[in-house]
Amino acid sequence: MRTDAHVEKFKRFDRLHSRLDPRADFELWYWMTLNAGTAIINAALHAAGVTREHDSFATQIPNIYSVPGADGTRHLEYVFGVDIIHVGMPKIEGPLPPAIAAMEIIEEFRDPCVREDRPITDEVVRACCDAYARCVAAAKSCVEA
Amino acid sequence: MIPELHRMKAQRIETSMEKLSDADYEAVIEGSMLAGSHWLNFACHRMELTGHSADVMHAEFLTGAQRVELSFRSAACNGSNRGLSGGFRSRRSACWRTGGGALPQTA
Repeated sequence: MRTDAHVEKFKRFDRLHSRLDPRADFELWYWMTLNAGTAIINAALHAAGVTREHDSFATQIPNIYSVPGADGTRHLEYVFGVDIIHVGMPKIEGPLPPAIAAMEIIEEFRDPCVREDRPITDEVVRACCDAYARCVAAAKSCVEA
Repeated sequence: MIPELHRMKAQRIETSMEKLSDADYEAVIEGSMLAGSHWLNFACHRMELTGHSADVMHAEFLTGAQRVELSFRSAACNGSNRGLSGGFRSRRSACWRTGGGALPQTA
């Protein structure tokens, strides 16, 4: 995807993130945290030259992307060095923005709290909120630099 | 995870989704994926296709064999001996939410 498109997605996810209740709506609130953070990190990675903009979007399988064809259809293709799905998926080479360290904290809660039965506590919400604030601040500083 | 916890998670996500509008289309898709995956796991566990410790992350990650077996078990739940007849989602409330019928054991 293009940097501008990542930033637009970030804004939409971030607005929704602030509308949802972190406790009552935890799963969807968390997913907006995850998506907003990943979107702004992709923008930051492109801005820092670590990954490149590309007219494709990620699938659930690392390194396989949906790519537009000349006739308007889309097909799957191996593409390297473009958008990440999650931090670490796919692994990327080169210097990483500090936002990724914050995002890794958020990712630690993904499966245990959304797909599994780890209790949603104030500590979990606080850890996600703190890491998200750090992630967004660090990523934005790369995008706006 | 046990089926009832999948049901609770799915229903919580569905309740949160009531706060969304069409303008939140990405979140509608994400919420549907998350809730749908919990319903899928609820069904797979109840039909004894998968164990409580073997959750499916995404429907697209099911193997071909699992898809065929799921189809037959879904059909059996509805009193048919024919699989691959479709209507997987529409049968959820009729069968799994209400407890369903006798289920075959995994081979």
